[in-house]
This record gives sequence, structure tokens and C-alpha cells, in this order.
Amino acid sequence: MKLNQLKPSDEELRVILEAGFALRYTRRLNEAAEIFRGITALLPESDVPRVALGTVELERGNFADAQADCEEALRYDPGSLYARVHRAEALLFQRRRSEAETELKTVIADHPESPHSRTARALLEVADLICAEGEG
Amino acid sequence: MGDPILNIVQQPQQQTEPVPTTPPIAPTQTKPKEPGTFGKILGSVLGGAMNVIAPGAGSLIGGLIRGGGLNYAADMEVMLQQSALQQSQLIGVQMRVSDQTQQFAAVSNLLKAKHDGEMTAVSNFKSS
Repeated sequence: MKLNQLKPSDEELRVILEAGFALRYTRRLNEAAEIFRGITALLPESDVPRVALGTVELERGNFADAQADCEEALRYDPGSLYARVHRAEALLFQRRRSEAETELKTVIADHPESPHSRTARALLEVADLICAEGEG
Repeated sequence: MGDPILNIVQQPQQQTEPVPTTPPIAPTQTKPKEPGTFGKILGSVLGGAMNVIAPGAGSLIGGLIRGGGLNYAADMEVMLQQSALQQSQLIGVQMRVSDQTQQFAAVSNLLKAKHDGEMTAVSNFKSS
């Protein structure tokens, strides 16, 4: 069976994505990445699996790769708040604090009620902690 | 007369100790003034109260009021210094614990926000 012959339903895709996140939470990062790569192959224009792949790279400490994944997602969907917030997180871990804070504050200002804005606020709260880590 | 051996045994013991010609000298040390019951109670109460403010100092102050003297002033000074040192160390530990609690709350908040954001992204996920 070829990839383009697969037609999973939205519900099936959601379940597979949740399974990927569950694997990431349990630190089974290779398996999580495999799932997110598979959904990205199925739906290359969707932001969620690409950013999810980026979050796996964040967990691995590959911050530049995480940033690249989020930027790829933004290329297909420039308005993706999910991608913007996690790109900013990748920047923060690379000590590019001012760029990260500017992006996070823009997300909060533009969409204050979004759950991704709550993530942005929480990231701003821990910015000191993230940037101080490894300096001492 | 009789048995000489028995006589010796039965003979009443004579006082051999010389009678002192002078009366025994009384000890010259005078007892410290004993505090009254009120003083003892007041000392205990004040000592306990001071222990709350400065551990160690309360016991000394209580001891003074209960009848101790000022001979313990040097000890008290040492104990007050130790107490101040312990207090400053305790404040330092409390500040570190407070910082760590704050950091833990911030990280916990971030993890929850990320999870909520991801679940929102998943629930809104559509293939077309």
C-alpha cells in the first residue's frame, strides 16, 4: 500500500497524534518522532505534526532542529500560534532571548485568550530560569 | 574476774576520741539567695517566651530571673551570637526554599499550559 492510498479519518489522526504526545511524555522520543514524521508525510501542509516533531527535538536538546521544524510549519501556515510559540521557545533555549520575548509578547497581544498565549506567558515567566541555566 | 577473753569482749568500749577543745568551724560559704515561688514561675514563663524570639537566650534570661547570677553574661553573649548565626542561616534556607517553590510553580504552570495548548491543537486538528 502506498502512502497516498492511506486515508485516515480526522478522529483516527487525532488519536495517533495523542499517542505521539503520550510517547513523548514518557520519553520514548524515537517512537514519538516516528509517529509525527508519519503524519507529516501524510499531511505535509499541517502545522501540528511538524511542530510536534519540533517539540521532540526540544526534548532532545536539539534546539536549532526544533526551530527549523517550527519554521517549516510556519512556511505552510504563517498564522500558526502553536508554531510561533514553540519557535520562540527554541530561540529562548538558544539564549536568543530578545527575539523570543518579542515573538511571545506579540502572540499574547494579538491573541490574548488563546491557549498558546497562556503557554507564551508561562514561557516569559521562566525566561530567567531558562537563560540562567548552564551559565553558572 | 572470769574468762579473760570474755572480759575483753564484754568490757564496755571506752571513748578514745579526744574531746575537741574548740567547737568545729562552720563553713564560711553562704548559699545564694533562693528566689521565691513567684520568681521561679516568672522566670520559667519569661524564659519560654524569650526562647520563641531568640532560642537559647530565653533559657539564660529565665535562669537569671529564677536565681542565677550575672556570672553567666559571657556565656549568654556566646549563645546569643550562636542564636543570631542560626537565625541568619535559617532565613537563608527559607529564602532558598521559597525561590525553589516559586520556580517549581512556574515550571509546573508552563508544562500545564503546553499540555493544554497541544490538546487544543489536537482537538482542532483536521486533515483538510
